[in-house]
Amino acid sequence: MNKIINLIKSNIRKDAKQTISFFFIIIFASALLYIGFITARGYQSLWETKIKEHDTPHILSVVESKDTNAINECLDNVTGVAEYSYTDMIHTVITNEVRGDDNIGDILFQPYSNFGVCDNPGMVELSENTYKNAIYLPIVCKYYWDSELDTEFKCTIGEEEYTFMVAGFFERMMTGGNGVYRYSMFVNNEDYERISANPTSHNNTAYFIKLDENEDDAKISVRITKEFGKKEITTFNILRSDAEFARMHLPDILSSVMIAFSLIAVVITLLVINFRISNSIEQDIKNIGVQKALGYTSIQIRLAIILQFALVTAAASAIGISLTYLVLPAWEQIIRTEALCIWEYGIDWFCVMATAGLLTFAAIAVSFFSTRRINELQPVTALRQGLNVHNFRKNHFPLDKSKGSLGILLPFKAIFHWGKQSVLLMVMMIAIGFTTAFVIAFGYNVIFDDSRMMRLLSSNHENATVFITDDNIIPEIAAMDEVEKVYRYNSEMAAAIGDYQVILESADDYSDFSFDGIYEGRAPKYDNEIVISGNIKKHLKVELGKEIEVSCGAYTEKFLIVGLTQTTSSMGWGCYITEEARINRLHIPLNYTHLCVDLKGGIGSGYADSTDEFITKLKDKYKEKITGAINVDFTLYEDNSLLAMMQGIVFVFAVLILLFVTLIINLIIKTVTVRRQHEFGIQKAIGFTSRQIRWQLATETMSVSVVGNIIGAILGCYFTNKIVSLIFSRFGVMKADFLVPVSVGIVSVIGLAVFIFTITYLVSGNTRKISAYKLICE
Amino acid sequence: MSKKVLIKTEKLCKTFSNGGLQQHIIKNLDLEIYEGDFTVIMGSSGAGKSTLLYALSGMDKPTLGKITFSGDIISDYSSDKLAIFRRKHCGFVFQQIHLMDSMSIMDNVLSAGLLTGQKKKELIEKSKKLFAKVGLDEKLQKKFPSQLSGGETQRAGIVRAVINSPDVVFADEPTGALNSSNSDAVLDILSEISNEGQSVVMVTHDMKSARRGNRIIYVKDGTVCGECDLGKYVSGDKERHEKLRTFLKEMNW
Repeated sequence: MNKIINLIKSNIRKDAKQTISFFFIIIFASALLYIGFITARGYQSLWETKIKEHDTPHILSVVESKDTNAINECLDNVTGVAEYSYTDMIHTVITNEVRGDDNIGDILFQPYSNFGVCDNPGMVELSENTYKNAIYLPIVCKYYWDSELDTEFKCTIGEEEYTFMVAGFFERMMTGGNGVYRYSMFVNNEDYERISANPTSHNNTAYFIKLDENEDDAKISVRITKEFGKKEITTFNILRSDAEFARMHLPDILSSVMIAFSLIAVVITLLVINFRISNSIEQDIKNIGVQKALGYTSIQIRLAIILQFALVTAAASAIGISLTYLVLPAWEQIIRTEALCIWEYGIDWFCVMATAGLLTFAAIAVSFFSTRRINELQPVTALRQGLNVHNFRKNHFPLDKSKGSLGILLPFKAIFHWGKQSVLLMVMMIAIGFTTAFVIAFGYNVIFDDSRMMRLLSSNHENATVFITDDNIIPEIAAMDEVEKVYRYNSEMAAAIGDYQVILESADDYSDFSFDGIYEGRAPKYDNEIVISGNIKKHLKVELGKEIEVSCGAYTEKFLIVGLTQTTSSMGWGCYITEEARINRLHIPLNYTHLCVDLKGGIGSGYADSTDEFITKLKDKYKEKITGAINVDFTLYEDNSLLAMMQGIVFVFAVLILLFVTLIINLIIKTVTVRRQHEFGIQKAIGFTSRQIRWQLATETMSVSVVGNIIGAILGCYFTNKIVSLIFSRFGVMKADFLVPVSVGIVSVIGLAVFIFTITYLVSGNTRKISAYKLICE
Repeated sequence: MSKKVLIKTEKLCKTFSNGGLQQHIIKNLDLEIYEGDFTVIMGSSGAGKSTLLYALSGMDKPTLGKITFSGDIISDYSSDKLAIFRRKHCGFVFQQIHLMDSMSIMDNVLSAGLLTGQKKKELIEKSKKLFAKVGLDEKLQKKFPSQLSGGETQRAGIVRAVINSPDVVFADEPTGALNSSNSDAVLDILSEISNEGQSVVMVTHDMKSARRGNRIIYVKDGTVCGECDLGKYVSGDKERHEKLRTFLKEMNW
């Protein structure tokens, strides 16, 4: 064993610089992998911990009835319902101002005296002050509405204005987050009574329903709705699975992307290990011969190399994992704005072992296979510098027959001469080119031309959404000078198809839509037609042209599937019907109508100001007939936190790629410089300048990289939409149509080529410091 | 007629540092190398012969002192300027030959020739003539160094050294790794190019090789401690041989 330890020490000492470069690469890969693992596992267990902590029910059923006996009777008839409790709850719509713009919120009010009665919301921040008009908001309001403790919270319900003081922020899993559309708030008893008396409020009963083990909340929800329908009781249900999906999708996507990215880094790292070992064997072939001649067995020599890489990988992984704790606070803050619950991460030993174990095992496996050559190496062959290795090679690009200058021919000779090394580098660059092209293509669609990204996030884009209480004003609005067209588009209406709860959206005429997200078939024209999401199609196993039954309250109607949509707006559970179908067949009542207004000019962030002017004008003109209005040009294009986050992630990944490429190139050039030191020494001796040698190395590396990058870029561009579809598939995206212009591929290849050339040129600068004499003599 | 000075050193010093230990290899050495001479630098092992050769050729920078080449002070040159100087003015023949393993013999020669901007066609013709002169046929020219014998490779090394018609060829123990017959062949080529007017500076500790030179410089402990003018080399000239033997005896060789 001592012999092996001595060999390991000697190997590490000899290749100190390369070992350090390799060390940094492993730190990088392990850090990425660990962040991916711990995020995925952390948020999974976080959700489970939180639902236990807050005693979260499977279904929150907001029932429009106070007849609890009848409701209890219904629930008792539903198999799968294990237990339930109930409390008073007001369901109403508030209008408040968020960053200067109207916000319409679907709110569930409860008296603060009932805080913790049916479930156990956790108070995150609590004011030290006592207010008569206290309001307790979900923590989401802090992130999305910029609400602060001990500040005023003003809102309008119907025609009445309310002013509260924010006395606390709480964490509640079902109604305290984004994506399920409804926030719950607690107020004191006096204010609760006041809101209750408001004519626009619905005094409901909230049922907190827990299910038997392994029951599907979506299926039970449909059963409950049907059972209520028998007694003409209307309800809407909020499902725990929907809340989980809404809150956990971002951590899910981010951890998946991080793991995918780190796995690419791991694959490249394994290629680097192979590259390092192959080089070190050729570089040290004489030493290996001496070791064998001295009596070291092949196993001992191989074991020394394998252990060397295993130890370095394990140590670097430990450091990489430790370093992640420097970035995890910032990472958690980013995710918190979507997950809306605080992730108190610690050391996850499972993830530690998985990360370090995976990398170390991979390093051992690759080292084992890469060192097999040593078995076959005879001492005498090794002592002759591997004489047979150099024999009978093809002389690529003979200088007397090939056209071109020395500066071009020498790099190409080297590329082919060191064929295995070139292939390895090319494979690494294919992976890097692929990732770069994808990141640039993704970046192009979230930074430069976000229209297609916007389509994924929202089906239709209008300049303004106006909430009107009187449909008679629609023709008047349509006749206004600045208006291009208006159309009704109502959404967020819960219904059931088979065993699944879906979200209905209805419009007068879908041809008015700027984008309807329909990727197959067409939009509904008649009241018996429906468009379902690709996700629903997959679950129901139905095809275009088939009939399905849609239930809403007491009504169940048959609809013909005429199209498939893929927008993410209803988290993959959206369906389109006509307004006629909503009103005449499913009889879904609405408190107000969503009116989409397209203004003359265009849609996008550049029109936010003119849209703002239009909304002001409209409110002045119609006053109480307009309960609120949203400047879509502002909220979707300028104030979109998800888009901003994606832009940030693109930037982070671009930096990570450049950092990784720098580490890889640094190691490769250091290895190549040591391995070809003798050759460079001869070149210097006969009159090559350091600049020429550096140029030659940079051209060599860049040329191989360009080929790899081109292949990678082609694959990256080709797969961009497939990857985006995969990432967003859980939201119902079936076929993403991101714009991937040829320029994306060109920019990624040229950008990487220039970067790699520059890095190689800079890293190879240390050859300047060594004299030709020294290079020859060493 | 006085000879033209090609290389001149003044107070040349070269010190190596090894683990904090300073080793003064060349000490205040003053020397002149003349154009057209076949200068042989002799001395015992560790005397500083090779260090002196590499300093004279601009392969390594001196620690102190001045080296002038055709009137230009090369000791002040930067590394890259020295590289350009070497490609234009110097040719090298090494004991370990030092051809690039990754290239054929022809490519090794052409890569040195193309550096000076010569026309490729003329260069190929010139190299073929030189190869023929040293007895390497076209078949051998296409081979890699590892596929040739030591003598053949060293002959290819000489072709590379003279391909740019340098002002001086520096040879560091050119026969050190060769057998007797190959050594003779290599020395014959060096004598031949010297007879054609090529300046040659050769380091050797072999008296048989030293006989080829017309001027012998003996280096001991980093300084020139004697020199001997043997006159033009004539094969089988016993008087020259005796003169060299006497000189070396005086130098306690």
